[in-house]
Amino acid sequence: MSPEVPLRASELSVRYGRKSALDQVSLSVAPGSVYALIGLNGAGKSSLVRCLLGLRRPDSGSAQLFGRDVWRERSQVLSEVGVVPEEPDAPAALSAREIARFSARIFPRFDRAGFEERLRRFGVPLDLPFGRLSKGQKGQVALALALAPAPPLLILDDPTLGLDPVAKRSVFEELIGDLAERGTTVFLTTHELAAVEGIADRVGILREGALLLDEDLESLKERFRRLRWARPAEGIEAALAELAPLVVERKAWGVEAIVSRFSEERWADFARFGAAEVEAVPLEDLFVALVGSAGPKGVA
Amino acid sequence: MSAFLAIFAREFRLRRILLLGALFVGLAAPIIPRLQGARGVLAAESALDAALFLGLITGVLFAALLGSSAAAGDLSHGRLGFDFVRPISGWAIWAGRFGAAVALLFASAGLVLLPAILSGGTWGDSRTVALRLPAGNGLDSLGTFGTAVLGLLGCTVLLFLVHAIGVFYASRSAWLAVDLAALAAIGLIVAGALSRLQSHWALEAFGAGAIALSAMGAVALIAASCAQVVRGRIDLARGHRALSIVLWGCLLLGALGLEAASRWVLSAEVGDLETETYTQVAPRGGWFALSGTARRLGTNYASQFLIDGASGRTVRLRSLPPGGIWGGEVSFSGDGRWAAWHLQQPGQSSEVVRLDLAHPGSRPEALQLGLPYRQQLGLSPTGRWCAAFDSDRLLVFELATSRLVASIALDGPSVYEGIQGIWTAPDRFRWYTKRPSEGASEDPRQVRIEITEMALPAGRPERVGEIRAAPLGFPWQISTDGGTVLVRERTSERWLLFDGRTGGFRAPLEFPRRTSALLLPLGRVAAVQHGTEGANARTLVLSEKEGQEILRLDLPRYQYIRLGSLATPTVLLAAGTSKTTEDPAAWHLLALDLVNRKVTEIGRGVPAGGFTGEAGTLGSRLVKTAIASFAVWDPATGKLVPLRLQPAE
Repeated sequence: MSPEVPLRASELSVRYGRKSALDQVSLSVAPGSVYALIGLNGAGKSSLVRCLLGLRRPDSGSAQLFGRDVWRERSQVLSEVGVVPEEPDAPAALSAREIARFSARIFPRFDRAGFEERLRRFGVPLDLPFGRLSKGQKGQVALALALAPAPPLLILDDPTLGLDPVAKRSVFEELIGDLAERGTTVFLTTHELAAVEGIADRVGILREGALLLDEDLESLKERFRRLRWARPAEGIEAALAELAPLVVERKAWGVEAIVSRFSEERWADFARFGAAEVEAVPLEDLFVALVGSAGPKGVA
Repeated sequence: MSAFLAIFAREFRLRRILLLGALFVGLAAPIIPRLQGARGVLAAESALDAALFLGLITGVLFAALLGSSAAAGDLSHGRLGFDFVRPISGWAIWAGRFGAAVALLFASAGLVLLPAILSGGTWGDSRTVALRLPAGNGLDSLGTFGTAVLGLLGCTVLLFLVHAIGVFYASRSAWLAVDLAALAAIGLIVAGALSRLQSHWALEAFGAGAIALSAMGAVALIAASCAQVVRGRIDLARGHRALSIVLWGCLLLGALGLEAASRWVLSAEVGDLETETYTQVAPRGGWFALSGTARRLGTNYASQFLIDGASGRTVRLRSLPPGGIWGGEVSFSGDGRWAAWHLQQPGQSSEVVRLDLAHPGSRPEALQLGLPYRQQLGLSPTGRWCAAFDSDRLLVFELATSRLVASIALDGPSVYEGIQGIWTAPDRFRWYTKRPSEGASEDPRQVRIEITEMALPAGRPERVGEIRAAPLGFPWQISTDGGTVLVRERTSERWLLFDGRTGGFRAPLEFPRRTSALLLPLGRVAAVQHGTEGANARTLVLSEKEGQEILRLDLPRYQYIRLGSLATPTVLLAAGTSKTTEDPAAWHLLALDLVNRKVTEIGRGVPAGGFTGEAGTLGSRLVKTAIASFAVWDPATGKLVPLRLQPAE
């Protein structure tokens, strides 16, 4: 495959009638990286994934995989992509083994032995019809199907939705294992922020169809900080404006803020307000602060 | 290709249970006739019919099942994405899924029929009612194999139709309004075009159009399902839109094509006639009616025109139904001013239409006479009355008011061509009724002809004469003035002349060899007598109405002679040829000078025919120079003047 960017969305917009589902969304995923797209339900994640898989034609903009327009060249470009859909789907009457047989005719590199081995590890019966599997087992079959052809790119649309904690863990463990082994590029939409934090290189946050944030996780953690003062001097709220606060709360014990432009240089000036605690912000808190706030789009 | 095969195999495998069901149904077919008591060959033959009947029911059920599950079911349940997130082209997905569905349908049909075939059933004509129930008698000509193939194709179309309906239902988008509007618009166009063809008896074109449109509908359904899967992918609304655009687009094209074709078929001009059925020339004025088969209309149907021999004005009449033109001829009034004809649509009662030939811009006028079916029409000399008659009843109408002035039962003459009628005066109608001879004669061919007259407006019939017990043959002719009846004896070359009013026998016309004869105006007889066997020699014999021979003219060069009419009081038009052909261009047009006993070749053509008027009028000089091509003979110059026809109104 060409050294092109594995996944790129350029000013992609999708409308359903008068309602805008995606508004000029642009993002790209670097080779070998893991991109986690997070957002509330209805934020437009699935619409974006449908466009990226060539299932829906964007109203404007383009979606490219490995530099090729996925709407026009879907069947060619998807030979390099493993997909785990939001709702694991396969013909209900076929067993996992039969599905693997079918997939092997589609993907020349499909590793049937590896697929069956993976399902055995998950504890998924190979000969039970897909329709009779539990939701977690269906998800595990979908993941195994996506990984079996050893694709250079994985696209996972909320793969842990509705799964029990054990199944969720198995999904992420498999992902991590595959990443470690092959360096697969991953585009992932999810609500499992804690799990994402351990594997994502870059994070995008969608709110109401607009990309609110698109940044390396490391940089994100650098500039987003939670600050606490037990007894801050007067004027702390005004001074925090310099750090672009997302949340500033005065509490019984003092003041707490989450800021989006933290830097050591700027922070040095805040010594005058007294001793403070500085800590990294968990992705979940950051997400709540960003998406839960009523601030304007593009605040970050 | 491998992706297509993978999908095909998967889908076939997923629904293979249907094959078991089909085999089970097929095994029941040989048993059913035996349960009804059939044995041996009859049981074997009936088994195939039973299998076909069961197969049709099974086919419809399977088509509905496969049509709803081939793609629409997965689409509406969001499962089509399984294929679309894999490197499989939309074409392969569509072809694999629908190919498997169609293959299952065909394989099921084979399995339903197989046990009946193995048990001795053979293809042939359907012998049981079972098959006719669903297929209808109209499909008898197809036989069992043809019916089976047609049924299978119908089930295949049903499969795609069910898929389309499934997508409409699952989507329920705003495009449903477009679907309904398109369906209504296309339905209106198609109904209009087909009813236009049907009402003009263009039933061959109707059938061809219906078949073509059905085929186009089938292709449109298949193409639309493909567009829906390929263009719509997993998006129901988008798929619905693609399906609707292709389906209604194709059907609209087909409907518009049918509309254009129907107009084209019915716009046949005189020049489009391939053969001519008849020509009837008005007794005066030069108008004539022409009927023939047009290449656009189909060989069984006749296009009909009224043409003015003076101006070339052409009026297109409604075409005639199949099965001959009996009762479809145009009737002219004796003064040549009016023409009347039947206008009948399939399944409807007949209507009589008349046209005022004296006015250039006149339009056909429906008369609302309420005739139940086509009858022979006879306009009175001034066009005031119209007699309509068949073998059962004579009706007379006053055309200005459409009032029925006489209705007379004719007691069903039983002899072929049993009645002829003429107007002998502006208000007097006479009719000749041929009946089996009564009494002593043992020869069933002995007939008598009753002669009855009726004066209007009183409308009371009065028996005025009878031609008694004669071995009458075919044809029998009545002179235009009603004064003479000419009949050919059935078993000889003798012709008999009778008084046209009283039926009194006048004289025999004896000929030694085969002869054809024509009654000229005023009762004179022109007969053409054949020469010796195989010789190209004919003799024209002209006789007075009392039977005296007044002229004998040899025509040595021609094997076939066709007599026309008196183009002048002394010149009889005729045509001669030595070939067996209907092509007027192969005939020599002859002017037979009855005074100077001279035969002159004018050119190529034949007298137009059907002229019963007086000598010298334009109609008497009308000549057919080729099929649907006419000229008028000018006695002054002796030349033919081509008639230039205007486009038909």
